[in-house]
Amino acid sequence: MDDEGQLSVDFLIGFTIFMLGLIMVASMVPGLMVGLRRTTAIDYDAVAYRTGAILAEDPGWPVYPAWEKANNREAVDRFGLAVDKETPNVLSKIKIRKFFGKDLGMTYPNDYRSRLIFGDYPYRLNVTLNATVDSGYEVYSIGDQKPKLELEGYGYIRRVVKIKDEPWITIDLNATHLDHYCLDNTTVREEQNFTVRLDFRELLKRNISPAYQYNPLVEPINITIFNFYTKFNNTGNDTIGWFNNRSCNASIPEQWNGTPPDNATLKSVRFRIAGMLGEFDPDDFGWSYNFTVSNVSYTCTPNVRINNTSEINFIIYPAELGDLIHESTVLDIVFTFGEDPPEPPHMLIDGIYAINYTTREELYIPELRNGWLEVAIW
Amino acid sequence: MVNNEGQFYTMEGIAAAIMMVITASLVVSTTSVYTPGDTHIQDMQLEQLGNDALKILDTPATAGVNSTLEDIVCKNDMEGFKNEFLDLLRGGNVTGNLHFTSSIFYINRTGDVKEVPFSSSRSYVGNPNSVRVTRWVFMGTGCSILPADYNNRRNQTVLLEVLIWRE
Repeated sequence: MDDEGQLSVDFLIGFTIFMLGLIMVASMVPGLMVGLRRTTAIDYDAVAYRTGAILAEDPGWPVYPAWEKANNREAVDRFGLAVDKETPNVLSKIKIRKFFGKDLGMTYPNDYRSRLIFGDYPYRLNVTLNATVDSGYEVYSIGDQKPKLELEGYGYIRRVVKIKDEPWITIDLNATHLDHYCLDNTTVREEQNFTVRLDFRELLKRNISPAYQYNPLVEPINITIFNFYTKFNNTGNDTIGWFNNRSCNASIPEQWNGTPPDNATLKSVRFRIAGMLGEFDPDDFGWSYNFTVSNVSYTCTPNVRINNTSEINFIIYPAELGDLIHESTVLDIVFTFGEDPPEPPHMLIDGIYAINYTTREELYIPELRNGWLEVAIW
Repeated sequence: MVNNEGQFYTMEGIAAAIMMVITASLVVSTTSVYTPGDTHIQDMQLEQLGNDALKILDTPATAGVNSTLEDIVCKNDMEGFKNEFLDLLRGGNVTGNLHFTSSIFYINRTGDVKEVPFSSSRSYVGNPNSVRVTRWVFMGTGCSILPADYNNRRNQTVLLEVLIWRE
């Protein structure tokens, strides 16, 4: 600067360059804060949200054959607990048991990471499901214990869900609307069959939401038959049908000498699939099932006496039937009664009872229960 | 740079003043550098929870029946909505720091859209940081909410709006 206070050009140029440099440095300072720890916590929340969405809204993969039918981990590509892609937030009890249980042989954390979180980062997780039951809550949990929030922090999401339990079939032989067969005086049949029919095409119709359907492709076939007493003790002269058989006006067959029997022999339980030849015994395929008569276990050829208080229960899971069943299957479960000749028949029952959504007294689909699914990721 | 009395010459003074202003603004601005996404994450979690609660309330327990939400709104059961909704929000734990207030938007007899307060767990005062979730609810001709001008001669779908916040 000269004596008159005027700036030289050199000074102006230098000062301008200095100010530009200072402004650039100043604008970069806020970027220094980007690398803070909070960024990784946001990532945990995003992963937790995505994981919660996959579990609550996705049915998993593969869908057909359903991954929940599998009994090994290689058959599962992706976990998802929703009953169907059309029913988000409605979870399947069977999928819940498979996900939280040990049936599939899954190991934590690797198998769960690769089928639920994906990616290479070694996230740790905790998935907990609380579901309401009559007397409180039932709790399912998988993964590590959550770290203390103030020490380490974790991503978290909570989803509100409904839980669909497994349906069952209950047949009360005292009901008047069931089919019947009337034995007349001259007919002597060595075997009498009562058949429970499951037409998968009816049961899987899409006009009923999957949240309220019975899906025998993945849900167990659970049949209970009781109240055999109905006409065992009937001493009337003109009504001796197995059910309240008002059209059966036969008198007591002579071979009973006026007194109808109060028991019968259950000879076998067999399966019949439309399109396959004849009936077959589940034991021939080595299938696992649970068959009880009044809480005593039997094979499918029990030859056991049924009396007034007997209750038959048969349960088999669809995974046992494997590829034999599909969406168009018509499956009959045939309960065969009969006595060895020359013993006259004791059971006056025969017919096919088809289970569908109009037979609501027999097909029981439990009400949906509330639940809370929590996912923590760190 | 300074005269005999130690005063800055003009340009040096201006440069020094500019540096001081920039320094001061830097100091102030760095203290407020904060990732705004934090509150967005919490808002998203709360909004997801509220939407889930309304969806579950609007899911019938069995096929062919009305949902709990339809019955509650149809009968104007404010206490019932409060109990059911809070139970779902708080995960079955009766105490908790989540609260809500709700209102219903409907069409009156003259065809105008009106709003009526519905149910709440606490008064919405002080403008707490809240999230908004909504659900359309079908109301048949037999339903009637409180205002006399509600058109109950026809089926109508009303909008249930719920504000949720933490305390």
